[in-house]
Amino acid sequence: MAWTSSLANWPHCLGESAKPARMSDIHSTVSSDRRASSRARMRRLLLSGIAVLYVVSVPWYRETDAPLRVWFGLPDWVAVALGCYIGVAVLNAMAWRLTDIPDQYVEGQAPERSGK
Amino acid sequence: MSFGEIGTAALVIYLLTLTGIAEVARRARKDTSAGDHFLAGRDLGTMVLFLTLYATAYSGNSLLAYPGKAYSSGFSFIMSTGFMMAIIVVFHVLAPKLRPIATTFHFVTPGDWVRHRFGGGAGSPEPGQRALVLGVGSLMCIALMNFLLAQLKAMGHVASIVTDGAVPYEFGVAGLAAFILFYETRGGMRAVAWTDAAQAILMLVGLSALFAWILDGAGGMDTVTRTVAKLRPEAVVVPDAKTCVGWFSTVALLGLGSVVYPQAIQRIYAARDGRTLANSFALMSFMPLATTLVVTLIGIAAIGLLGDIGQREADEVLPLLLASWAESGGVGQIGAVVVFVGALAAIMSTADSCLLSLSAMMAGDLLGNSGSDPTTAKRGKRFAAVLLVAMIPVAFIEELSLWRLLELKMELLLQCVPAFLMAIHWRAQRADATLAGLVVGTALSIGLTFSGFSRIYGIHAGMLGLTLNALVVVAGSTVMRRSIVTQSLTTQN
Repeated sequence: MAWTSSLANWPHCLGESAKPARMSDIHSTVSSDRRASSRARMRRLLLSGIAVLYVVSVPWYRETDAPLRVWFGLPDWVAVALGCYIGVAVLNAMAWRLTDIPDQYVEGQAPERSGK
Repeated sequence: MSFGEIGTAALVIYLLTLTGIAEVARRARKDTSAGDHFLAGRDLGTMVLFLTLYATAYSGNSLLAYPGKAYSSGFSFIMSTGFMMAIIVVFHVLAPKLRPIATTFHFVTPGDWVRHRFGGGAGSPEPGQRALVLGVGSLMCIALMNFLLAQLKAMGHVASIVTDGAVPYEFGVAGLAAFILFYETRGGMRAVAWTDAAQAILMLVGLSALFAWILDGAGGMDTVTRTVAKLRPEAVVVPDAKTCVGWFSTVALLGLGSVVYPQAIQRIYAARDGRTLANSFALMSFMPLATTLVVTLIGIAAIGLLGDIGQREADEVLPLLLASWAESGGVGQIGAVVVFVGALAAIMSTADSCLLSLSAMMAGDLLGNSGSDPTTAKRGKRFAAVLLVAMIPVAFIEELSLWRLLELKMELLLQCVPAFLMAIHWRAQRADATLAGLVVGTALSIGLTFSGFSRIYGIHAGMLGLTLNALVVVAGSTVMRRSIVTQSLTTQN
């Protein structure tokens, strides 16, 4: 987890710096790493939700000879598919809002390059 | 005023507006580098990026062909909303990792990523790297040429319809192509993105107006569904197992294939920053509901409005609906013109993005020029001009059966997926294995399609090709990795 790796870096940070890091700086680093980790967890949850909605949107589990039932002006299986896609749109927008896209590549961080 | 006169006036106003936008874009140019020309100086903000992504993703095909497909397939074409949304979902796999590396290493074309990824770090490139860049570049260029050709043909048709024949088909193709070339060479990506934004707004207004008119005339969606159930019961029944498999396959095909569209990848490079890109994608999530869903419902409503027009006429569903709207006179006439100009805008916005990406890839990936080379932008402009001049006579040919290869757009593009979506996550992936996968997957897709098996039990030939492609990449990379490790251990001993 990201915050544990940042804890692991403490001695290294203290060793390199001329002055020891202040406790408030350390707390702020840990809490921002925790926030990032919880955002990443939430993002993964949202993406899993999207996968489930896609599976439900296709009426593979329905009888093909079922009588027509109209929901919200649409055949019921279409209304379910549409409801799923509305859900996908909302979850996907939320997932993008939680996505951190860095502007600079940090060495050692994925994506990787061959030969390293 | 007649429909043709209103249409001609609207077309002239539209083209004049685009000219103005292109001129402003030219003046906003910061330098003559490839990055400034092809990527707007990597400074596209949220709204412009969102609108250009939207206008590029929703081509003339979405507006003109989808109502016809919905008319033929019935309610199962609701899958189109799902597959258009899948594109923005699959970008989660690529954009967050590609963006930082693209900005750090100043990528301009998709091939820059392949070159970098298999570049071997400080040492020499991996075996097969150059061939892989060429292979990926060639497949992408073929797909883009297909796309561009389809847009040129559609431009000619729509220009002729909207002016009621005052602008003949051939003149529409050549004139509008020349116009695209004009604003693209003057303003580059900046002009393309800004005109795309204007075109996207026009497209949204036109579609919303048409849908409101149809629902108003039909008496609401409930009546539409019950009428369709009476006229074409098979259009409302729950799809069978084969259609459901095809539904999943189409979502995967479009979701994976569209993410590696070169113009989409270049927009990842062109965003001002990561937050801007994420916000634009968040907004894009809702656009299939505002566009694809609307055109699908328009096509379904046409079953009741137009009756049985036959399979051959299905592609003409939108023009037929607009003709009947225009006949109602007044607002209907103006509304029909707005939709036609909106369709033309959608077509032109896709064509200009294709042309810009094609010229960048030909100058960069196929000829091996670097994005930082100042002559790359100049070469790209020349390529754009040569390409358009070469493609215009081809677009004049109505029957294009000889160009079957070009119709394999998505199946071909799909074979580039391992070079991007897999390679960005899997460190052990090798260039030669990726090249082998690309060749085998492409051969299988083309072979199956030309043998008449474009789908096997609902699964697209391209998806089967991609599966084989990915298996070859995994097996090849694993075997080569092991042989390298064994070799280095033997050398050490």
